[in-house]
Amino acid sequence: MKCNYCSQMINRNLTLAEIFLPKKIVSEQLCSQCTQKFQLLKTKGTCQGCQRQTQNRYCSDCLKWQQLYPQYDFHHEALFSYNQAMQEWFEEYKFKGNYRLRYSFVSFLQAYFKQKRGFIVIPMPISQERMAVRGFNQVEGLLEAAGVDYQPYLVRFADGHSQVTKTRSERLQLVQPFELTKEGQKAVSNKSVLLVDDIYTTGRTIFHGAQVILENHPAELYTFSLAR
Amino acid sequence: MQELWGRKVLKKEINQSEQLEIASLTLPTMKELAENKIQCLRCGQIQLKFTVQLVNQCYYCPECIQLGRVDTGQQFYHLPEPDLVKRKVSFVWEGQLTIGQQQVSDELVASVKKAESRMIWAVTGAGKTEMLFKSIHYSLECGYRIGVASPRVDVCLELFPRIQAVFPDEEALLLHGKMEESYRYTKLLICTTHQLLRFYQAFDVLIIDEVDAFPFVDNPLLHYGVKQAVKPKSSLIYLTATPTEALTKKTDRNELKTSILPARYHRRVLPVPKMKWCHRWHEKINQGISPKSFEDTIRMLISKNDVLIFCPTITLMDQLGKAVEKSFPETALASVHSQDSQRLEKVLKMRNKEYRILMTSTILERGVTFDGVSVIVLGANHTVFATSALVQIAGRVDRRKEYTAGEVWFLHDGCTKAMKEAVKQIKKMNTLGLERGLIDEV
Repeated sequence: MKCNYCSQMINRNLTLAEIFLPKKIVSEQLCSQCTQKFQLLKTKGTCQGCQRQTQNRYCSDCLKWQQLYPQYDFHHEALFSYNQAMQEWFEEYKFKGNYRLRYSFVSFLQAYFKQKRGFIVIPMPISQERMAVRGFNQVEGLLEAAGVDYQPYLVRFADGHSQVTKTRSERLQLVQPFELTKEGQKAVSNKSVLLVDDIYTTGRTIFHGAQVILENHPAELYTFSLAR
Repeated sequence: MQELWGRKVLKKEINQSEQLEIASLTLPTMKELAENKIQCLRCGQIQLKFTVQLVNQCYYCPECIQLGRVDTGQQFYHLPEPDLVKRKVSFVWEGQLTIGQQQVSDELVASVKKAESRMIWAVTGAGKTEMLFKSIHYSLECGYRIGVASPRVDVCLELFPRIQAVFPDEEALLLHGKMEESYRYTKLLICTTHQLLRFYQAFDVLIIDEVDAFPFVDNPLLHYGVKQAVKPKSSLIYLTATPTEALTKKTDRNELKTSILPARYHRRVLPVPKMKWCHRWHEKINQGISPKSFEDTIRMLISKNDVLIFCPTITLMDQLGKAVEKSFPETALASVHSQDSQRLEKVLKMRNKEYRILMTSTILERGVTFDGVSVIVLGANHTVFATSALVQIAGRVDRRKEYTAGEVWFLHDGCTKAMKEAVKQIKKMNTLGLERGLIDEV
């Protein structure tokens, strides 16, 4: 078996479960060297809103968001730190468009989504222009690879440039780019909803997405990203 | 227009794409081979369709994605090379080829005239670059497009100024992955082998230096790139000091003409590696001990020359480094490996004789010249030391005109086939050199 990211050969023993149970053998994973480069985020000593490292209950960013969205009990979780290695990984997956890398974090994502059974999972959408060039939605790719059921209730209007080229203040000023489908409007009310994005940086995108969902009164709304 | 001559590129790779789009030919990016297989026409690699299917029903190639993604939603843009026009090209070189070099150089020109392929098997430090000048000059005067490619960036960086200096009025281009300068059409091109993937029927003559080096060796992607980059009627020149078995087999079957240069320009024999038993070196180093026979060898060699020590792995090198430092507290030493950020500085310091001992992984096996060094390969029986690596490593010694009695030592605890083969190859070249009168007997 080869590492999904660096193509180095991996030798591993099958687990007992894989040998004896009628279960699919995991054939896409990262080698130990690659796994080491990615840093799992801590869950203790972090902001209750967005999981950033802080001594306080909420970080300064989340306090600002609370002023903007006083009704919203914001709760975001992420798996990995958006460190150098993760930036390089996203460069290859998202910007170079190596769709095969959607399998890189399968085991981590499966473990996370196991705790979130019963949630309606909504991936962050990309615009049609982006879809035409890239050929896939990077969030849906990750979810599909991990075998997570999701509902594409959120849609995105046309947009100009990628977020990466924008400064922080430019990003914060963006106007609402999302809308919830008719079907989605009915489906989310009084349900637990989990909104999923690939990266959390300022929170602007997530809050825009959350806003249109909140307008339709879900029972609770959590958000998740692979990295932050 | 010129930008696309002999190129095969995606729309995102060209400037002013609107104008060029209308004027150029388009070629498909991928080809379906069977019901379930698809081939990338840039790198030639074949994929199972279901593994490379995108959501928008396109297929893409993951193998050459570092050069920008090829997918079935796109096309390649291409224009054929223009007709050949003979011209005058100034050639400024004061140097003198040795008899051996001259012979190879002549054979090479003959091959270029006949548009046939040839391998040049010249020992380490033979002076390969000088032998190319005449063929390059001839090619340029014929109006040919000529490329010199190497798998290694550092080799390209070293070749470029040397070639440029010899053809001062010729516009030459250096191409590699890490550069900012954009592409432009030139008749003379120096590039890494990866860059060849962007060319299509461009070269009348293509020279590939260090064909046996990583990543070119055993890399089907780059071999496909070479085939694509040359014109149907062209000559392909392979340069090497340690040919792969595949190449020597072709020579034996008379499928590839070969010129052998068995001697260095200074007419001395290649130093033949000496073997020495070094009991359980792996275990000892792991325990943080440097083996006694190893330290004895260093003491013996360091009286005459600086010492270059090759270690099989970075982990072992780190452990060994600490032990050696303890045993030789007075001696300036350092260690260097591929991930070392100070790699270039350290190599430069060794060259300037600021260090007496330099420990290294296999990265320094080729392309570097130090004055007055001896070499120790510690753990020569480790699998990373293939025959070609050992011959290259032995070739680091005695490259300069002045003789310093540098030696090569293989320390091992169990002789491998690769070690025997390396010694055999070096001895064979020495015999050949003596027979042809290219080496002075001492």
